Amino acid sequence: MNDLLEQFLDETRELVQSATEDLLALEAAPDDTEAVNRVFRAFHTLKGSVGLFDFPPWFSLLHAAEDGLSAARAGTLAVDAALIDLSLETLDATGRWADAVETEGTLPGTADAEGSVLAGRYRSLLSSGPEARAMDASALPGWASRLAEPLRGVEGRPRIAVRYQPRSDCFFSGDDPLGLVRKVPGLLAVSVEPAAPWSPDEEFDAFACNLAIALISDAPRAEIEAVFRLVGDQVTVVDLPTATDQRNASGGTISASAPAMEPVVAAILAEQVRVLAAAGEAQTDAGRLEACARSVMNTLRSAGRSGDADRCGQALGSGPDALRATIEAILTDRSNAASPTDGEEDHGASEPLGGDAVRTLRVDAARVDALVALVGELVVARNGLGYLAARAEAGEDAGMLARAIREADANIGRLSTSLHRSAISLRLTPLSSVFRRFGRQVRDAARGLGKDVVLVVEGEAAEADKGIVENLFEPLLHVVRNAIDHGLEDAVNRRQVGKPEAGRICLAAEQDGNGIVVSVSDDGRGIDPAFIRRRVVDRGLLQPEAVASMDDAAVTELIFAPGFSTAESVGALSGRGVGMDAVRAAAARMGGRVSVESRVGLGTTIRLHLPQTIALARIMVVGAGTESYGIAMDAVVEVVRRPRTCIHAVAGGNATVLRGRTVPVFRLVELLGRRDRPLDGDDALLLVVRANGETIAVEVDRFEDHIDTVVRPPAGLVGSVAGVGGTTLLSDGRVLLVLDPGGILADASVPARAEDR
Amino acid sequence: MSDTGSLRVEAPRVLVVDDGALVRMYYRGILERAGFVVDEALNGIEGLERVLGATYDLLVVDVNMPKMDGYSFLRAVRGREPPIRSIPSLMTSTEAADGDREAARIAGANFYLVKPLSEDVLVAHARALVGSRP
Repeated sequence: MNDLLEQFLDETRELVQSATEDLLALEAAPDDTEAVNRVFRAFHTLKGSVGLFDFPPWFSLLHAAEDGLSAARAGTLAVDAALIDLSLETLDATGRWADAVETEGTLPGTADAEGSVLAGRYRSLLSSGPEARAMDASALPGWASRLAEPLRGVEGRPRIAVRYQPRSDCFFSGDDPLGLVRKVPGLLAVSVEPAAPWSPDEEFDAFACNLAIALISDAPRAEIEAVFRLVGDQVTVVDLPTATDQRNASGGTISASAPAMEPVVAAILAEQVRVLAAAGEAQTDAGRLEACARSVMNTLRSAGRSGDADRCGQALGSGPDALRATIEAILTDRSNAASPTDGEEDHGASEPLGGDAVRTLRVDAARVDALVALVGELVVARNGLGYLAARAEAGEDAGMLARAIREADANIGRLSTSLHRSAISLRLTPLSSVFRRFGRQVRDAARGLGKDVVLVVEGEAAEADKGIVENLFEPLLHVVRNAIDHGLEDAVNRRQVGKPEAGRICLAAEQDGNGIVVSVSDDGRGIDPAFIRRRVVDRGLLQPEAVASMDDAAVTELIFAPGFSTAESVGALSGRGVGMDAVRAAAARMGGRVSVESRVGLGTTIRLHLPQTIALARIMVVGAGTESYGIAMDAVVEVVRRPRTCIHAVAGGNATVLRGRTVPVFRLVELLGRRDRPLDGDDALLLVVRANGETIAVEVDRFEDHIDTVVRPPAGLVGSVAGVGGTTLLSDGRVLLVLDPGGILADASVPARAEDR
Repeated sequence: MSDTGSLRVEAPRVLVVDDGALVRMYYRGILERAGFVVDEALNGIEGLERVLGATYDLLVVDVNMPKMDGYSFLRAVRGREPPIRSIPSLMTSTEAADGDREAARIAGANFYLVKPLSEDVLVAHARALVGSRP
């Protein structure tokens, strides 16, 4: 059943997404009845799906939400900010709970409380609306539903509500009303109210009991009735529907009085009596009669009562009333044994949850087809090799053979390249999956800041690797919030400079060579280079002379410098201690970079330049001791040989001067935790690497090779080792660890680490 | 259906009419484990096409569906010729109100189950309505 859960989570996330979009659309156009219908339908489906599993708080919440939206659909509840906000919050909770179910297998501990608060808000919307409705069944008396209300949606055993109105002279007949209530087992809620309005003070009789006590308990009914057995005439007992109450075996008088029969059988028979009694349309009467007869006969046969089935078959010929009478006779015939239950029991379906959530990828079928076709070609090409081998065995001329082999190699090479490209395309995901989440984010951010913002989305069909698309949300969110918070002026300022009051944020993606560029533009105040210059100097990030020599574009790029934040005040929204440097770091992790373009008064555009696919990487293979390691060529600045006399001990480490700059020197063997080995040779081989914006030199024992390869993300044991960026396979089948210079550096900055190992 | 008192031997065939893909998947799993042959339809219109094209022993019908809801679907089935019009039906809904149950009876549903359904409940009612041993 793991499949089902997986499918459920997928579907849930999609529904949350589409309902969120529809709700946002509704906010702009509350009269859009189609959107109301879609939202209602999404909640309805969500509720139905959740109901397949055992998540009672979730189900109750969605049920309440569905009630609210159903009223909105019927026009009895206004589609206003309150309903939309509440529904968005419900979708938020649903999204979070889906995540929790995926990772933990259960709802978060707070789901119960959160769910009932949200559900309560739906109900109060409904009760303030024109169509005020009491909880669930119209049959519940007001006092019971009032008392049960806070417990609604809370899982538990079936509950019973009791109203006990002691006689006014009860104090003289030895009754102790509160003492009795205290004896009730499983007490969940109690309320005490005056049974009648209090009389005026001068007429008040302190010795007459004027109390009405209502309580809810989850103890068995018999136990509760036993407590009140001496005052039974003053007590009303009502069964409350439970959170997962089914009332499926339509507990009517007939089924209750026919306990000798299987409860299901009795319930079905009783239901046929009701169906036959219901006033249907004339043209369906024959069908309904026959269907009832067939249902009764089948049910009786399944219970091994063929004789009774035949009785019904005969009655069928005489019309619905005869059939009804026969069914009723069969039901009452069997009503002699006594058993108090109506035999229904339903706890929803609890599916065993699989331990680890499987990640799924939706792929366009055409891409899989293309892949399959290529694999087919590859198989054909491979057959050619067998033919070549046969020719070689037959002693064919080496020159001819070599040419044929080269052709086959070229052919297989072409195919494998296509295959690789085709396989990579399986992972391509449209950016729309990230962009569509921004409608909500922009709205919330704008509302939080009291700004009016229009979001424009362009190029959302552009595609990138799933890993990139999935990691894009956080950095983009940061940029977007920054743009709304700091980029866009407030309405007053905008009006003063002649801009429309609503700010404009444009989220765009476009293909750029082998990569994609994702940009966030605003039409706000722009970034003032003079301000940046001052700030950089004030913060001590750069010397005044250095800043003075930079042009404006370079100065603007300084917003990505660590420790730079243009926020005048730390806002709740964007000023969370993360600056644009976090965005730059995120882009770098994805193998990309960021850039900024800004014009004072006109606005700012931040661009993330990202690779489209996680394609082949150029790796330099270096040796340290007996081992080989890979380092991404992107990170390598240069490779130099330095005399050891030029490497100096500085403050507990080593450093050398390269092109006028002091560069720290680390030995790869030591970084990797190997014991110190004597230095050999007069020269040191240095790999100069840029990592996290710093330049370092790493001494290696030898340079081995350059290879183009696919680097797999670290997994399993190596996944937790700092400094390992991934693994790749060498042509001889060995696994090569590819080092992440940034990770190594972070590790090296804690000198004790190397000693510990 | 057979007029003899014997139990059926061939696997009973059920049509699940529900717009929820997940719900259909869930019912299919349960019903197939219980020995039913299961067909699916996404709404009443598709359901009608199915009913006219094959012989079913039971219809499991959702109330709330796009295009044609469960009530209309059942009314249409009950208005057809025999034996189609006599196919026993189980209506499933998330609504537990008396009015909804009554509407189902008027439409010709033979039993009404409130979702969510447990495996036991669905199987017990489905088996009874097609006449197989529990």
